Amino acid sequence: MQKLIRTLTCGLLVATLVTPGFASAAGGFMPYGDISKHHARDSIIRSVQAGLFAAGPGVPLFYPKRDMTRAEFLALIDRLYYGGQYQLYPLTFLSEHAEWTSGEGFDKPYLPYKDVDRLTWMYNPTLRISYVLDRLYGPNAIQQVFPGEQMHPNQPITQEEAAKILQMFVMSSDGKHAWEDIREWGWLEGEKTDRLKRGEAAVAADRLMTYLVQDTIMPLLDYDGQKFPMVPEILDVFPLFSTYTNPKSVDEEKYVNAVEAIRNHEDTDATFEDLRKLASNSFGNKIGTHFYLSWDPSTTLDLNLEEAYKAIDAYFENKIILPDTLQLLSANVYDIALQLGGKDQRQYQKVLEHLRGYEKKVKQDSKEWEALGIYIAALEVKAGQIDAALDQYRLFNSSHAEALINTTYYLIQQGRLQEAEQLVANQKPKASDSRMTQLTRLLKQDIASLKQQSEIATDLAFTLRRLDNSDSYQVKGEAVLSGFTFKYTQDIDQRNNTSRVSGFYQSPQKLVSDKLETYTDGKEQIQYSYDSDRDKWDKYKTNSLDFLHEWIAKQSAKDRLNNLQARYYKQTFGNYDIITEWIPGPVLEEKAKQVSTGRGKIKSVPLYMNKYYIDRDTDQLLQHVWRYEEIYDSDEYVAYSGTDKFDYQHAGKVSIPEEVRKGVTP
Amino acid sequence: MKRITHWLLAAFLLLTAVPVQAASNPYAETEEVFWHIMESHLSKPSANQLVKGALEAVSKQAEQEKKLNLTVSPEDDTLPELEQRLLEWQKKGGWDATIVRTWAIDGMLSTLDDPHSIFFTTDELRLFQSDVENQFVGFGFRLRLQNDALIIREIVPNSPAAASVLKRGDQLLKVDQYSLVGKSFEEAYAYLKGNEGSEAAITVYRPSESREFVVKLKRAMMTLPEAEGQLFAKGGVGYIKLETFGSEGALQFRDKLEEFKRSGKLMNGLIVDLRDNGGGYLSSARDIASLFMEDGLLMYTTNRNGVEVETWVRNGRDIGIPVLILVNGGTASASELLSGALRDHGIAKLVGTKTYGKGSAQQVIPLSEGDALKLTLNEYFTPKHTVVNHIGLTPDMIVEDYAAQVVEALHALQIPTWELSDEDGDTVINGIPFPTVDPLFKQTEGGLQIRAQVLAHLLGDTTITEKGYISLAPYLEKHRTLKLMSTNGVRTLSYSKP
Repeated sequence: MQKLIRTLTCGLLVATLVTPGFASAAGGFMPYGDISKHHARDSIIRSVQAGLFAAGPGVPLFYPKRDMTRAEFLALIDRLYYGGQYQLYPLTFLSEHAEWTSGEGFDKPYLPYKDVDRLTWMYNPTLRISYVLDRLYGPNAIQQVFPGEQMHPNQPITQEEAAKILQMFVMSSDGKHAWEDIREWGWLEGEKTDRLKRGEAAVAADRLMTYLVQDTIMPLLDYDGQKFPMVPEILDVFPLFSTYTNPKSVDEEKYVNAVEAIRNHEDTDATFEDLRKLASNSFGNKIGTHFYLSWDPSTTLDLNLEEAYKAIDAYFENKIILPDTLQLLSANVYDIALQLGGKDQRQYQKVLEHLRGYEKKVKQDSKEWEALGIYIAALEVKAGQIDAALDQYRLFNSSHAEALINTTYYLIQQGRLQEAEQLVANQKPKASDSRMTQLTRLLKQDIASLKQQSEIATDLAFTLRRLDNSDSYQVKGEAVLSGFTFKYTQDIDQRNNTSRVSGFYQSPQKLVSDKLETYTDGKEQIQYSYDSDRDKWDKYKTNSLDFLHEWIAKQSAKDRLNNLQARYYKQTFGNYDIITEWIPGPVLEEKAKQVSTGRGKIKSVPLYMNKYYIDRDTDQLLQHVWRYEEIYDSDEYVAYSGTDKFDYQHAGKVSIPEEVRKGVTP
Repeated sequence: MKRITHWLLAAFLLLTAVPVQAASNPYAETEEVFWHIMESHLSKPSANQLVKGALEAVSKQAEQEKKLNLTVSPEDDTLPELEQRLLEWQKKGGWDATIVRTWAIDGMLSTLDDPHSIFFTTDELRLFQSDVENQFVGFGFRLRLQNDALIIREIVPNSPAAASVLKRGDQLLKVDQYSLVGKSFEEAYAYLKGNEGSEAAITVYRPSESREFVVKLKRAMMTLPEAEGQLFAKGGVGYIKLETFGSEGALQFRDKLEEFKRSGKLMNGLIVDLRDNGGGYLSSARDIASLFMEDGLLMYTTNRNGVEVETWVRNGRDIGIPVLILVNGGTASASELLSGALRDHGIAKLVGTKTYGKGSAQQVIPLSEGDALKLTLNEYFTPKHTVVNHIGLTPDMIVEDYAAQVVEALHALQIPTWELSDEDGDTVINGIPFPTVDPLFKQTEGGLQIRAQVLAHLLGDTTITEKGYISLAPYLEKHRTLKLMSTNGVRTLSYSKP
């Protein structure tokens, strides 16, 4: 049930943002004494329930008509970001556990202002947002919102300034369009120069929350190669499929206890023994007993699949139309198929044929039909029948979000971008259907960016070529490789084909850092490294690859686009162009079959993504951020991430001292 | 960066050199300490040195405890040899492995010439941590020694003492059956200390009521404020005493500064008292530094591998007024770090005596059996690369006398008017009491005397070189603005700069 559990954890993430408070909002929960007649009341209540505003005995009033200050708004956005950060992950590369610094001596972010002090309540939220903005848009990005040495944190924030910050949550290709973008999303309703009221901020936060729990910002982006075919998110993975009231019969008690055990991961052989007895006697809930028997870890997947089928059979025998139930039962079959099938298309074909057998039992165009159809199409994809899947998805893609995303995605996969664009353009979702409305907009934006792929690759290639052609440059960087942290300055002399690295590194198993000193002779393909323990220079050949990412780095941007299915996204913000690049793992795994590296054969590539920050005036690369994960056949897991900053002024000749070449003790 | 892999490979190789310990080994913790010192200690000691140190320590203890002659063999210079020898000697002496282990560890540490690398048992570790956080177990009064009597000079708010009838000025006579009369501070402390929750009967004498009584008190864990202070009565000068760099120090320091600001008085200067502040957390020092400067280098740190890193203060705020820092031989570690950095940036001047000279940083490493090792990993230098370790910082204004240090600092801030008095054994300077060992005034047959150095610094008279007391009368005659008043038996010396 890996997939289901994954969807479940997704659901949990969503839940932390939305909070279960939605239901109780109607129950008359009133966190402040001054909002009952305010038009933003419901938004304020929902925001409080989501933990966006402080409430409680010490905070009796909300002051919805007061101006919101810049610092207050940043603190609000900080909390929203915390809930929605997984949405921005493909653009920030910042995981939930990301730390600001790798430790003593490593860079710590700070604010480019003189009037927001460390030891104040506003400091950490402001710094976090500034850090995220830096990652998204380049150094000192927050200066684009609040320019100058002073941030004036206690000054009221204007609608336009708020929009510039809210822009981080939307797919916005140009920082200049912040106001228009946010207005179009409908989060703010005033005029540019209006001061944002606290009530209005709550409304914006409320709408943003809804937005964040629906579809991903770039719905067609599959940065880790795991997203497609997309299936619906299932909120309740452990239903009882019936309601039981006290007093319960012995069988009912047994059943409810079994479900409880499975839900809490406390199931034992006895749990499934009980279920088996129930399934064979006259106990009425056949859907439930078979569904949960399909979870029995001690029987084979084939038997699990049999039980999953029986649950669907029982569903149809009941003759009660419950599309959500059918969806869960189909999801269950699909999930077992994924575990059974792996990469074997025939396995999927078998399951597919079985599921198709149920099609005649549901009414065409009904919700039930869609619930089943989305998994049939997913199995078709897995069985290699993309055309058939597309036909299936198309049947209901104007009413079904996943069907629409999948149709669009697979059309584009087949090179039918125009068709995809047409399809999305033709969507006319009802205004009341907020998910489809949002999705259609997001898809349009995503397609617009997909149409520029080759252009972006050309831009990136140009910039990288400029780097390769410059006589010399200096890189200051920090990186983490398999738990080892590095901080270094690298001088690259391309005329002499030499380079020098100096800095230090910290082993995760050690308490003190060690020196990092190397010279590289590109002509002779030799690297000289200083070993501080032995106080000696060592020699290494550099003519072979150690890691797969080294091989990818040698591929041109064009080759990455054409051969490795790289996806590009370009944004413009202030003085920078920011290009983000993702290469899906499955493609790399396929291509890597011909590549041999020092680490051995590659097994899988969970992550490969880069961000390039380019100076718009000079087209020079200013900063490169990366995050790679590779798993080798030896089961060695390599995670490599870091930031390089490029400097073209402070660079010069690098000559390798004779004593280094001779390996003499310095 | 391209190609950092060889470093990784090299590091992996080093790692494999560390053996995995068997859990049953009675000397597992000795091994751990050995490897931590070998890998991390600033001085890069040799295995031979540690092994010899351990064996010599055990041999010495054997001699002392059981007159047992255990000779340290020059051949023993590796960890396995050490362990084998320890096992052998442990049997010979019939000791518990835990005892021998502790001797051996202390012996290894003693070779480092580093009093700050220490082995802690679980209890000692807790004590050390509460010390940094300014927490301690006790009754909640502070004492002073006056004419051989132990007098309560301060009662800690929210402490057992505060909840009792005890008052400032009460004299301690007995703890349970032990008399405290004529005892030194150290002796008295030995009787007063005890475990959290334990009870004692304290006999006190209250001079104002001329009566003796007994109070029963339970010892409790208390957290004292890390930063305390107030404004001097004259001249818009703030005074903040920082006891330790614990986790609350920076916030309390900030609150004090804000309190001064709220008073509405024009601030002309700040005196920061770091005397006898033995340090604490680096992060706390950095946060406090941020209350003095917008941004700037706090220090350089080096380690055994010659790696030097910088620590910066960012997003702070310039203090904007002259700052004087009081230092003495007890000013150590984080205190020296802060003093050195603020001086190098031209923010503060130091007044007092040479500081301790602890320019090293330690990390507390948990060991497998719940004990811990505090080990020196780094040496630090001030922003101008001034060496602190074993040297200490020499103040800009060298003043020996505790009260005179305050006087000198106030002078440096151009304070024109002064009032000095004795109160309950404290020397009160412009409204703030400073606990001093000796009173300001002394009545002798030849007339009233005053602490010479306090007077010297008050008048700026360098011809006064006496260390003890001198007669006040000639100076009252000589300086028109120096006046002695007496109200209700309290003498107050007032002075204004001519």
